[in-house]
Amino acid sequence: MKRLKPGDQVDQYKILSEAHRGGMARLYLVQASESDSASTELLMKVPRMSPRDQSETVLSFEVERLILPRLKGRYIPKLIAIGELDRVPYILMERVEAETMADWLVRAHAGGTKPSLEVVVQLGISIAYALFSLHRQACCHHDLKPANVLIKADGQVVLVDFGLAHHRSIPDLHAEEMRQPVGSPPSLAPEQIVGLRGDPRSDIYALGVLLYVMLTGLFPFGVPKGAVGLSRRLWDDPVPLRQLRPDLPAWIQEVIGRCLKVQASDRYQSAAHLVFDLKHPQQVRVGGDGLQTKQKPVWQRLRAWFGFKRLGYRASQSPTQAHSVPPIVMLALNHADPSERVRQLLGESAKRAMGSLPGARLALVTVLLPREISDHDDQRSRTEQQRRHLIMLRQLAQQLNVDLPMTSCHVLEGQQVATTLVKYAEANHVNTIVLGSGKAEGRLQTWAHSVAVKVAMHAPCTVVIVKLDDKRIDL
Amino acid sequence: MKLALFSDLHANLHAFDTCLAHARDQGASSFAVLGDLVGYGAYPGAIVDRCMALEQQGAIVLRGNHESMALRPSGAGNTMGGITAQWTHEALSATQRQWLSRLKLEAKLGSAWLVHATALEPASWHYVTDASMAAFSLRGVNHDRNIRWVFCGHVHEQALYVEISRDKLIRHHPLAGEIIPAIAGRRHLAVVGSAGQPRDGDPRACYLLFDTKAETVCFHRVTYDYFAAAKAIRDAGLPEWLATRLELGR
Repeated sequence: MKRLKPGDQVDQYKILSEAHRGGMARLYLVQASESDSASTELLMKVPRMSPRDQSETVLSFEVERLILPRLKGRYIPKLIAIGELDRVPYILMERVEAETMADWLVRAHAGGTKPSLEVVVQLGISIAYALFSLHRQACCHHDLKPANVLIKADGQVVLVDFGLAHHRSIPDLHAEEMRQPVGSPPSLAPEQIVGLRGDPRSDIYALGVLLYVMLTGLFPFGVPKGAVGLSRRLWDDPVPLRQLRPDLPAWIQEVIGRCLKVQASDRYQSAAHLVFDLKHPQQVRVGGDGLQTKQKPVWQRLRAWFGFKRLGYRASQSPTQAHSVPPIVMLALNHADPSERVRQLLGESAKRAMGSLPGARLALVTVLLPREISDHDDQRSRTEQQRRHLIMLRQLAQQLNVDLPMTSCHVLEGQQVATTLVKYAEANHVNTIVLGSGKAEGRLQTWAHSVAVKVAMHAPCTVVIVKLDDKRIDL
Repeated sequence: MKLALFSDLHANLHAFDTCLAHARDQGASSFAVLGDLVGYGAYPGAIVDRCMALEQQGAIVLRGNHESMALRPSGAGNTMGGITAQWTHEALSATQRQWLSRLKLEAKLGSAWLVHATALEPASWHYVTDASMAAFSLRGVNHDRNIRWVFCGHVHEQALYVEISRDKLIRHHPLAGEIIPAIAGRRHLAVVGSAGQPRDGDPRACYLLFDTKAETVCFHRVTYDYFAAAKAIRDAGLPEWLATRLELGR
């Protein structure tokens, strides 16, 4: 795209001046032509590219023009219009009256001064709210850096530049395998360095970096140039905040440390949790991390480095990947169970267990023992038994009124009930087993305690044992 | 215009009828079936009749590998497909078989290219399981610069591939019911998923709705009576696994 000059016309917009020249795009101040009022000044972002160019610039522009129209809220610039790629490509936005965090940093740290903790915490809360809003809209920003955070006079922030963002419902054009990580080196999260995208916790890492740099004027891992510099954050800890600023309390170091954890699963899992801690410092439980005032001794850091060299880095599973394998609740029923009431009771317990696991599937399972099968008796033949028990399980599934496509019924065969159940749970990555145990009204209502105990001992997951004894108060 | 695309029906009448009704509710006004009408399931005849009627109303119906197998069952095969091919062959009338034998391998519809397996070498029944196979398939429409979309089946899991540059594609895992916009100026390949035998652990039937004007696609998942479809397979005396897998979506 050739450079535009003041007075040029793009669609119905008149170019007033060039406001900013970035590596990937130029920003122009423009005016809607029919109006002469200065209050309708808008910002036009024009990518620096030729339409046939296949570079990062094109991809970033396309990503931004796909994602921005899908986002809502006061934390993003209001979108006015989009110019098509095959004519004049541009994104026209409202002009936000604000300063970038990059400018703010220069001002706040001018002449060796440091901004107060209160000011930084307020900005941190504001950015965390912005992230929370984005994440709830299935979007990760993925390029949170001082230049992309606009700070308004009232302390509210607006996040700009969605060229590297990821949206759950839009094909991720940056997702190509075996490529250099995309984003700003100082604030890239460890998992982004190895090419993982779409994890909201990467943005929480980046916010940790911003909090650190706002307080100290330094990036926790500097501004790395090459791959070696980038990989330091995969094993090393940054210089403790309080080594650089002894005036800061331990809690803020604890909070920032938690944002900067190497494993995403060790960080705040939601920006809202981070907001909570920033707002309630007295509630933050300060552990060893917060109390550090010196960087770990060399031998400890060397050990971490050797560990990294030996084992490498494995990113924790991103939440979206984790969801693609839905949690499974397994309800184990004794098919000889005489009481429908008991079955219903067990079913309700399974439903409660599902309620705590979003997207959970229910597997209704019973076990058929060899002594229950006969080669001669038609009524006790294997297929007949299988069929009868399946019907029983399906009826229960229907009674429970759970979403049927998320339900499956299985008649297992095995020598021993407990071993068979545990094996099935292992093979199918079951998250919770629900089973009943005990005697009521003088007869065995479900499996004996011994079965429940064995399952509880050997199961690879949570086991919920529903007690069905006469002693139980609510039965 | 909203075009509903179905594939890999696999003689599952319960699934297909439910998908058709769902698509009509969503405003679909035209239909395409991307092959594998028969094989595995218990209703080959009824499915063929449905598709014949749809074709008379203007729908596109293409041929898949299971049509070829059912028309000329080898008799020797010990795969599930081989076993059911003979059964399917006998379950179809001469008229139905003749109609199946006339089905084409590919079709063009505006900016879309429809095929069962891959646009390149469509008769070789390659599977589009990753981005490199999607790139391979797209090479089959290089001759026509108007083609922006390739729709296919054969692989039973839904997927959307977008061309980033020549021979380089990215894969998107669509969520059910979400509207995905076309990426301007790029070519897309969508695997519409199997209506009659989903295999991703979710027993709901798959199909895709393509809005030709807005240039958006929506991958749908539809609940249907798979217990009934499985029962029909058991009643027909077909292998048990073919019934069980419908209940499990495996």
